[in-house]
Amino acid sequence: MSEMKTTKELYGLYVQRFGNCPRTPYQAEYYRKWLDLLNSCSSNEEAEEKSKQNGLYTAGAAAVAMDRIYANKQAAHDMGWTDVEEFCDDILQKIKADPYYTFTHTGLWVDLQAKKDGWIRTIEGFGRLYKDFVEYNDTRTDTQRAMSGIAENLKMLSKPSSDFAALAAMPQFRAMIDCSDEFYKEFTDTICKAISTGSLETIQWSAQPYQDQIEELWNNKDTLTQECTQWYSQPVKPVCLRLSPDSPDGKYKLIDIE
Amino acid sequence: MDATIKMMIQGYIDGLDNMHTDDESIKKEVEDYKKELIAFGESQNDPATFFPKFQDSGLMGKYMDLATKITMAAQTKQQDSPSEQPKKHIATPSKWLEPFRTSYDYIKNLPIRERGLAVYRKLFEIGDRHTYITEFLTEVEKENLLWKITSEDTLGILNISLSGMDPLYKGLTYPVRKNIEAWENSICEADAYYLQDRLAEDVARNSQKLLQKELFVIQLGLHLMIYRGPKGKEGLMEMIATGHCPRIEFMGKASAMAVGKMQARRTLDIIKKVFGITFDDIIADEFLKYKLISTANVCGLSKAYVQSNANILDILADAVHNEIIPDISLIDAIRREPSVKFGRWRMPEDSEHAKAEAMARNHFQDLPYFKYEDQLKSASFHVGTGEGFDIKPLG
Repeated sequence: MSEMKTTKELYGLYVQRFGNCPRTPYQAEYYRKWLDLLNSCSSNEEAEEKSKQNGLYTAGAAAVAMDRIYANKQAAHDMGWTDVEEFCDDILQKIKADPYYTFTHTGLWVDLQAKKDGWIRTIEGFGRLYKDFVEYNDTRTDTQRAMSGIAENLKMLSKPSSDFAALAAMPQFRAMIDCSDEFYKEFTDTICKAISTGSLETIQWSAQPYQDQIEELWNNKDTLTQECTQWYSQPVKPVCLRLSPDSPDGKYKLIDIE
Repeated sequence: MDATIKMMIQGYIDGLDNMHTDDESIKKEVEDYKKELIAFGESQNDPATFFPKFQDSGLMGKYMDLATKITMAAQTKQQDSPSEQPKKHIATPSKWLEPFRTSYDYIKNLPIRERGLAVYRKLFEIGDRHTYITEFLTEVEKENLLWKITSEDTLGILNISLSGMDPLYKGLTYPVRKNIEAWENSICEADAYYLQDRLAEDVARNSQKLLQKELFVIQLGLHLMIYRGPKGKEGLMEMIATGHCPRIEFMGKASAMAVGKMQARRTLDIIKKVFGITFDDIIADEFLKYKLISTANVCGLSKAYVQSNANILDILADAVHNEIIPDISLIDAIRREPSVKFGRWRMPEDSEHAKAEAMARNHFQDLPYFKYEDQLKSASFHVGTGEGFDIKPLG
């Protein structure tokens, strides 16, 4: 009888832990049913026999697997990953029909991960497109490199859409980019234009506006000898080591390497 | 199959065999389970990450389920025939813990696993105090120890990794801090699945966001270097000081100085437009300001860097405030007396990198990361649900 009491206590603890966790409704239910069964029986033998009759006896592995799928489904739901959520729903139904489904169809985890990867890759691709834009926009010179990066990173977009403009209009993608609305528009317009025309605008950088100053410098270089010699004769300061601080509020410590 | 993993798998098989049962339906389940277990063992190649992956695969949960069923059946049988004292029918904590001891023995000499090892030791200590498996499991469950083997182990490794990172480098520390938060908040395997999925999405979004501002600052720094460094102003001053002034080279450096200034002014405008911040705001940001200059990580996960002269930022700030923003002429920029004495620009040489690394390692020697760096590098630690968390030093 005391063993029965301990078993009940153990199952009560399982009910408590899995019941408190919003990700484990199936294990919570499984152990709750066991506890109810134990409470209604006078011996372990009786509980065991009854559990075999009502199917509870073999339901444990399925409950573990279902919670694993359910956790994925919940995360997908909370993030708006609709196809992942539907996939998980389908698997849950299959496990309900066959408790050992996850053990006989191990490829489902690969399929599930592939579906999730599509969403993550889209987020990463969108971020990389912004990086392409920022690097290009700084001087607007290396357009070939920028176009090649843009073409490559556009391929990463797939969920919820492979259309850059559609993604850019979504608040969750806007929230990824730390910039003013004006600059965000410049970013999206530039990428859309690159997609439609296959090219980017270029800035031809030239020192022409400074030509007079450059000539002035050349013509008067001899008058600068004193300043430059004074500068040149200063001792060269040593390079240094920069040590990170102990906390995010700290400051770097600089030490000369002598 | 790896020899150590084989030993661990055998431990679980022996554990079930030791919990002998006459129940035919359980016997079949045990046999099916053994096949799954062996297939799982074949798919693993790193004993150091075996247990967390075993737990994630659901096989640990199934092992618990089978063990409980066998125990219940055995208790029933014992109650039916107490005179038989069928000891072999009773699953003892000691037998049940055998596979855990195998896992423990494999990692017991790895201090980076200390948090996980402490949980194992607690488990064994509870096992030693109990004769009956249900009493033992009840105490284990009260402290959620089976889950803590994985969560504490992972948290230990993550915290050690964090100690090797630059705390100001949020783009780097963010994923690790969020990972720690997720593991601290998970109470079971399914919980970890949920949190890791959310984490993957959150990190994909926010890690990039944290890096966006520095991207602009790095570009500004490149323009300032062109303007102020050996390719521009400093190169011109050296030519004039040494009297070696071929016209083409002189004009090239003067043009670089001019274009560097134009590009720096444009980037400063963009930064103002995008983030609403000025050069002074960048200089006031302890982390961001060092993105203006070229630095190289010398040890840890961006824990220390080697860079040019210590007052280089003062020199750049002097140029921005007194030459670039007021847009003074090139000749005036060379003629003016800078507010900071600097001397010539110099980048660290290879020997100085080595010296810097030795100095940094000496400074950080007591941090866990540097104590256990070899152990951390020897395994790609599993820090999620089926995912590896590959911690790489940044260059």
